[in-house]
Amino acid sequence: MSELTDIIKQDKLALVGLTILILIILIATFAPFIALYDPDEVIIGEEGIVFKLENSYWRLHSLISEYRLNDITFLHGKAFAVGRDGGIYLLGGDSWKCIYKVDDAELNAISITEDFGIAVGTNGTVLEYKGTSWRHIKLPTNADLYDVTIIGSSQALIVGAGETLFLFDDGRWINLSKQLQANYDFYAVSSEDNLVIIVGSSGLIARYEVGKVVKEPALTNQDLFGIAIYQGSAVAVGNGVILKYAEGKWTLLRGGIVDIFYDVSFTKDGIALIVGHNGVVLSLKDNVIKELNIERRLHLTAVAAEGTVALAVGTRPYVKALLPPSWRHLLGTDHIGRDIFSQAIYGSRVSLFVAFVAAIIVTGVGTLVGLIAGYKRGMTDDFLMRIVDIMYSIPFEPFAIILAMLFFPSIWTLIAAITLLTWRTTARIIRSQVLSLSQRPFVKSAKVAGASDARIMFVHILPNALPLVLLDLTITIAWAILAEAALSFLGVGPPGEHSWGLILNRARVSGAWRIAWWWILAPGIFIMLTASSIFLISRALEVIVNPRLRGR
Amino acid sequence: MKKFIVRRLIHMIITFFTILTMLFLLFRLGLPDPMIIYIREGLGPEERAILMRRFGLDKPLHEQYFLYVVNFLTGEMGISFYYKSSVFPIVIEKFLNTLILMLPALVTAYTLGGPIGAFLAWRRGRKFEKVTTILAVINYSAPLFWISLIAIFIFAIWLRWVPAGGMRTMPYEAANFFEKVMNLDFVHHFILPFSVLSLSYLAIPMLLMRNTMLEVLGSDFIELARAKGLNERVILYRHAARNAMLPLITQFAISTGLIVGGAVAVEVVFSWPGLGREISTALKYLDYPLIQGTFMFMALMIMILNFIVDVLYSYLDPRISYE
Repeated sequence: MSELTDIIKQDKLALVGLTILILIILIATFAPFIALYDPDEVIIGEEGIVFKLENSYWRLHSLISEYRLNDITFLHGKAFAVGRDGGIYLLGGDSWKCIYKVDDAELNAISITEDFGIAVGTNGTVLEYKGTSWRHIKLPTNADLYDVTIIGSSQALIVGAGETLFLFDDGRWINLSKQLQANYDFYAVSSEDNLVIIVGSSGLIARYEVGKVVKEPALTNQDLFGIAIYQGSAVAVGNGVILKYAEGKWTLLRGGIVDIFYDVSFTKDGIALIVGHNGVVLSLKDNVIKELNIERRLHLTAVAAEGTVALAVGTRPYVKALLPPSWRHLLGTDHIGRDIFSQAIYGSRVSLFVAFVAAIIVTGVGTLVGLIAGYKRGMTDDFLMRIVDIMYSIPFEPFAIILAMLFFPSIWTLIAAITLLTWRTTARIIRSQVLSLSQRPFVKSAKVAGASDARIMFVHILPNALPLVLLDLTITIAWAILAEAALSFLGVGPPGEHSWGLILNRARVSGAWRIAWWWILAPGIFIMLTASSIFLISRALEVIVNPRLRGR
Repeated sequence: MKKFIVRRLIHMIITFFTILTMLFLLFRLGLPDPMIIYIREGLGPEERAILMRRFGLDKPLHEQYFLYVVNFLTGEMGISFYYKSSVFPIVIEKFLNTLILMLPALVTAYTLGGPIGAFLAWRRGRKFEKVTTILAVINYSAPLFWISLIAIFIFAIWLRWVPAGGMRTMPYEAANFFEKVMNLDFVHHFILPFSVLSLSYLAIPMLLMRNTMLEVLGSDFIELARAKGLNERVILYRHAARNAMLPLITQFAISTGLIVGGAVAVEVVFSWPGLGREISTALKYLDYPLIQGTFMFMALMIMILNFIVDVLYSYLDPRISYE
């Protein structure tokens, strides 16, 4: 063993190989910590898209960010929007500018006047705008905050999950939560003069009157997501329902339909614009509901109107397929939007497992056969070597293909194919070594001393052949890595798993590798690195087995 | 010598029958009911019985085996499910396609690799040592099919110099094999896989030649030639290289046997309609007769070439005796 360390010290390349191999084994062991994504997770993307109402038609207006937008509002012709990325965006001209951003929360709603504004988000996040700048405030709650409305000049009412209700009064807050004691979620709030209405889960409609929440009789048990008030009348929308409030009375205009409505807003003509899931846009005037057309049927989360101008924000999740490499996806994504870097990291597990198991079986069987044939000679040797000859006549890849076709393609089919046709080489190499070893005096003296055949083979000959066995094991591991890759590439491997060969197989079968160079690059480099690291180690071992090579 | 050849021939025949039997048993084991292929077409019990009789599946196992062997020996390998025609002519055609690609690549690699290897042995030193080591590492560790994918990406998709795959632009008409390959369109398709294969095959003869040359150059008769005052070039090519040729020739024959069945992935990548790609597509269509026929043909080719290697070796190297 000291000889081994000596040679590795001299042979810098062997040291490099050993380092690479250890690194790859570490990668395989700690794959869940290194991979940024689950290898089967389909990466979904979103876009925050704004639509503008033009002549009863919603036209695509602009793209804000690659995140969902949750609310939009107007202030004197300027539009503000908040998104899932925690950003507040301001529309100037035709383009949006991020004016403030929180990193650890999603923003759900915004309400703003000339010198005062509030934006609320998940986990008790509140942003206050005073005069010139935004300020991050944390409310004494972990509840998600869903909506906010400004009352008067410096007061704001904030609502959220679990009957969360805060009155924000000139920098201080008053906690008014849990007055109904029924664990409602307050989804939206709206105010006009003295009329403040809160809507929420299970059809909740409530009036807010100076510190108190008064529940109105329920007309529906569906969740209500949006509310808007205009000149004393109001419209509330929710999961398939539209409710109207006029002259102190609520009526159910529409119920039991499949559409989900998220938000409502009034234009100056008193038309209520209702938006919802899958690009549904309705206009409501005098109890008449009309459907408007939209350029792209995205999920519309919020709508805002000022005068006759109306904007709606929407998003539709899409699969991030065939993305080129970026910091978020180091090696890009595949044709169904899975992270290739993570697949390659997890793939090292299957590839190494197959290679190591196959190599150990191959070396075991091959050594045993070589040992018996080389020691026993005669008929036994002839018979065993005839089998080896037959094995040498079987083409490797076609044989594996037949195995995969007749038996289910799996990791074990792979291992079986590799082992069945690889032990032949080991057997030949070990046999020739044993042939010469068994002529040595120590074997003869053991025989004279009356040692059994098994004892001579395993106690006297095998230890002397061990360096060669070890060398053969390393070469077989490298060969098995390459064989696994080739067979998996041909479709012999288990379809649902991830290995380097299988990643390449999917790249080829999908045909997408012709566009996505990153898809074929990474697995191949992993295969090359692993195989060459083992090859470099075996070169150092070879010097031990065959000292004549030293200095060459 | 004659005795040796006869014995070796008998071995080959035994090997052939063993593999044939193994294939028969493997298919009967993995596919107990071959009729499963016809299930898609909705098979009634009577039709089933008719089909069983037509394919001889109602006979006892040993009779089936006997029929199977006789059919194989007469070149009757069954009807391909996919092509709906006899398997043997298909196999021959695909074999020629494989050969027209692989053989030129192999010959090029060996005619270039031998002299380069001899040169490397002659001019050995630190610089060349590194070159050969790096070449060897790349050759051993980069999967050929992956190199082919990269080559297609660069030369066919990116630079658009050559087609991405196939043997001829479809559709084409050719009365025979000769007509198919003697034209520019074929060369256009041929050049990329040929280059990739030759370059990758180059490493083996090169490294082999280098190692044997190093051994030969250290032996006494070279010392003697030097002592006689012979020119270095004469020593290298007339005395040393000739003696180092033997392993190269055998390796060439072994490689020829292996390429018939060993380049499946490369043929698949280049969509080259050879034997290897055929067996891979037959897997997709579950074309059992075609897979069996192709497989047996490949095995037979390997057997014949291994036989040639052994005979050649005993003929070329008088030191080897097989008694």
